[in-house]
Amino acid sequence: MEKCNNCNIFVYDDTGICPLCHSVLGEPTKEDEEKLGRFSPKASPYPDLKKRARILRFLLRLILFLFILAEALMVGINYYVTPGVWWSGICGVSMAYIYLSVVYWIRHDAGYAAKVGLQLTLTILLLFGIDYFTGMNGWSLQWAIPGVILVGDAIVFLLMMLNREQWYSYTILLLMIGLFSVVIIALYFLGVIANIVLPILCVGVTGAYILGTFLLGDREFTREMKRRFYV
Amino acid sequence: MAKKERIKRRHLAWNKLDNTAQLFPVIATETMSNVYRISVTLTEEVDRFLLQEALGRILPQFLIFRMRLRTGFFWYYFEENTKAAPIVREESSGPGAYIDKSKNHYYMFRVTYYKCRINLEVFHALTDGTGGLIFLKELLYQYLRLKHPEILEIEKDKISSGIFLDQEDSYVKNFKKSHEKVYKSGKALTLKGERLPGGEMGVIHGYMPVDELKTAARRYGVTLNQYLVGVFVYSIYKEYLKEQPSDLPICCSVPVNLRPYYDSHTMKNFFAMVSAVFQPTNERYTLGEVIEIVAKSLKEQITPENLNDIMSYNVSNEQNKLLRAVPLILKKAAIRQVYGASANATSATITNIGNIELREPYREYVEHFHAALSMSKGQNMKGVVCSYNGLLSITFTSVLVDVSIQKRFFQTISGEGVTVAVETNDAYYE
Repeated sequence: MEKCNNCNIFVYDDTGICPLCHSVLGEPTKEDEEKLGRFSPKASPYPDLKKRARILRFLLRLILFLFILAEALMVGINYYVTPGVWWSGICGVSMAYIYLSVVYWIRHDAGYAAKVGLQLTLTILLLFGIDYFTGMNGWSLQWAIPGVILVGDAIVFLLMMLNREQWYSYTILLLMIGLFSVVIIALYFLGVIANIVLPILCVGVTGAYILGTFLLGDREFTREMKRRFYV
Repeated sequence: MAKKERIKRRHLAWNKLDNTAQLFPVIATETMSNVYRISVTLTEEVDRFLLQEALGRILPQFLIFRMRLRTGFFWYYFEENTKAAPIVREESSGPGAYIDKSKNHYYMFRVTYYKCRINLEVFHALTDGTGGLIFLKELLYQYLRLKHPEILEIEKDKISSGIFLDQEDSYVKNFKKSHEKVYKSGKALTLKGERLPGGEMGVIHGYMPVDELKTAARRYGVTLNQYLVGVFVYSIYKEYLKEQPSDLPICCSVPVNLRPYYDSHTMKNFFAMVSAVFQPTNERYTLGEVIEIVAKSLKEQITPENLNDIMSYNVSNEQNKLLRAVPLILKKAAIRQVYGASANATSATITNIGNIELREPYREYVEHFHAALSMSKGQNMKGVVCSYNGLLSITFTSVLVDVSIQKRFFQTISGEGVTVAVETNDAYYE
């Protein structure tokens, strides 16, 4: 331990400079040594964390840089090769979706149910967005989004099987998918969707799944509902 | 075997968050994590595997730490976590860094180590410093029993008898209805300045003999806590305000442990915030004058009646049936709004987790304790006080490059005849 004669304090850091006033430290006197007898002889140092944080930040920025570079390249190709169809815009939106999803899955602090729920919602929005910006032919509502709902059912089933002890923790996600199914069938009755096959399939599969969970899950299902909806 | 099956089949415990805890999940972000750290430095390097073993042994007995945070439609709630204990890792982030629960087996605390130091970091929704300290001490005892089996000749290999594992919500149990707003919500001075690069947080630990500090405090006729808060406020006045009058007061928030006032032994949060207020209206206040004003401000607020009023006001909002039925997503927006407004009423925080005592066979292996707080909105500097074995440690955490307030604090105390030793996390060196 060295002494800062300006601040009249002792410094554990092994740097030779006072961290408070930045004056050069000196050796403690014999009188000082007596005072220091009551103090711990050892410092309690910290690891060098700056380097690790820098690497993580650099990696994320590198991915972003490569995506921007790829998009700029595609816009260029698009402009000179097929100027009438702006497919590079869809690529850009898709890359933004992928990048944000990667950052979200890596950095966001949430359980699988919440992450899957948000991912399904974002995917539905992305598909609808692409359909909308390419002339709104209705393929997203007719085929793609019902497909996402059915994939969601399968993911929830998989998660429940993988985490059988706490299968009920995915019931909120299942109810959310149920809500999407209701919206899809409602769109059919409102005349937005022409073909009833996939909407019926969504409501049938998700409805049967929810009913099965309610009946077979017995009290675990009601307990989960009680916890989630306590006022 | 039968017992094991019974445990496996029984229903998971769940409970509601206490009044204070409701706030933390809403306002926690990566930069304002609401995580605090309590560290113990040993006389020898930490054995990671034994520390993991010790954690695995004591965690089943602390249900309050064995919880995960869940999101309900109206409120957050805790649910028993059946996953294995979080992995003990070497320190890889600064004190009070955000706890990414999805990468921590969904636990809301983590245990790390570095050389001779063991760190317990706890998300404040789980418990306050008192609860955290009980857990750290039991972890330490268990670790030392594994590391030094000779202790078992005089100690039993189990958690200490006499500690309380009570999980009552002491806020709800003790509040009284119909109280008016008791908080001062006027704007306070905010400590601003250039920030450390890369979101880094600077840490300065100061160690001082308790008896020398008590002698200094007695000269002003105040308690040790009032003295430390007074010197801190004086340092802000000298270094930040340059001894000039200010329209905005310096408001130093001081959490008060409510357990002694209500004979509570809960492991959950149970504290109230009071604020040491100093409004410089003239130039050149002396240290004695500032300490006197700060001590008076604290004395007026730390009374059983006022603390009850503060607590009751907080709880009465939570008990309002109409407000309870508001969906969480709307509550979160409202809480953020109210918190944002109230955060401006505080300049900094100084908290004291008190004197830490260890049982005889364990003392020889422990050098010292210290604790640290993460930053919160409107507060760029915080301090935590604790003492062990006659030495008091105060840890200042700050995101600001400028250390003139900390420098003034330690220089002032040293000038009062107190021996001071400091160490940092190297954030202030290039």
